[in-house]
Amino acid sequence: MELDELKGMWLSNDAKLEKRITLNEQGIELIKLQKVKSKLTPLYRQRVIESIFHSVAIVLLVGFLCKNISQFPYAASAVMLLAFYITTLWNALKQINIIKTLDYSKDLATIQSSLVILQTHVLNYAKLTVLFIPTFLAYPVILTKVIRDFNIKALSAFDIIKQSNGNWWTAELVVFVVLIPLGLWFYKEVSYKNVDKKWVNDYIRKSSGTRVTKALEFLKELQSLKHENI
Amino acid sequence: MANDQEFTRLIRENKRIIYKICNSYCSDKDDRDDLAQEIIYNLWKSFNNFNAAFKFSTWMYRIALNVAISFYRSEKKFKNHDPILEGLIVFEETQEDKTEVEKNLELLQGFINELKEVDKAIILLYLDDRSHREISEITGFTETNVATKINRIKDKLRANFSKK
Repeated sequence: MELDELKGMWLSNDAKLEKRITLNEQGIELIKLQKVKSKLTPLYRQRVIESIFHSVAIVLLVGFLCKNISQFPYAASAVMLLAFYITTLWNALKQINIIKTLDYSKDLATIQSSLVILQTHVLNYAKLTVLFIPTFLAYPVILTKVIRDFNIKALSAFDIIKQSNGNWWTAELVVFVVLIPLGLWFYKEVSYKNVDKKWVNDYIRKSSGTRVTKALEFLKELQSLKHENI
Repeated sequence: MANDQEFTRLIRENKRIIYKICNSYCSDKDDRDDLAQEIIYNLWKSFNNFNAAFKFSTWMYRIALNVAISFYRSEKKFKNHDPILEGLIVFEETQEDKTEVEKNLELLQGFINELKEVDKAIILLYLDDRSHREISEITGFTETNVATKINRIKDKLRANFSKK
């Protein structure tokens, strides 16, 4: 049996279907009365909270940077952390924008891709955590400086830069120079485009779960149907 | 009020589309009810933005298929089954013996149900006599890819029917 033949039967069956399908119009009236609430509202709230958290961190770090701009190790550490928080804030804002502009009357490729992006947000954190591993060394530097600046007596004697004779700062610099290019490569590689690569697939599955892996495989299919010749 | 009545009229005229989509994306009756409810709810929610210069069925297909694919891909489903809204779209079964055509259409439906979510959408649109261009507008896929997909589905279908 050929599909074209079946198409003829399918279309000719429409008249019969029309007669045999009953629509509950009272039900439609009840649906019209339902309160308009988006299923994405909880997700939207989560992303707004994330954005507030990241914005507060950025404001505090900018304050710290302004105060210590003349002291290079502290200023550089603050810049590293700022880069991390600006990237995470940017990701959260992109998600908010997707939720706000999601319109189901757009084509399937656009809407389903947007939904996959929302669904795989957790992977952004997994990727950024690797990309920004070097910045973890900046936390103790900033934290001890803040403690001294605020004169918290019990802890004020502790300065990680002085205690390590400046070696902490050197270590931070070396780790930064070596790991950032590796982190950037990793960030670029772990994407839906490479979801067929075994190590990428394994990393995504282990860091974010099977659901996210499947979603990215679906995104790859959608993007190839949208842009490439299959 | 006029908007209300217009919406109900358009749904009445296109109820086949909702029925076919629900039938193709859900095998469970409760899921079909939930999906029909969700499709109509989303159509109603977006109805104010519908531009009457465009074909209603194209707009409806986009929303209904987007909702159906999301429903199909969701592990938890919507879990908002409202018993009052059960049987929103009911297909009346008859006791008569099935004709050869009906048997073939049943086989075709079974075949569609086994397809992947995107392929289901393409084949439903193809069977509804939509042009490649219109399928491309609804799905967002290139016309060449739509044509390639249809040919691949045709090959699969041929192989499937020859086994029966």
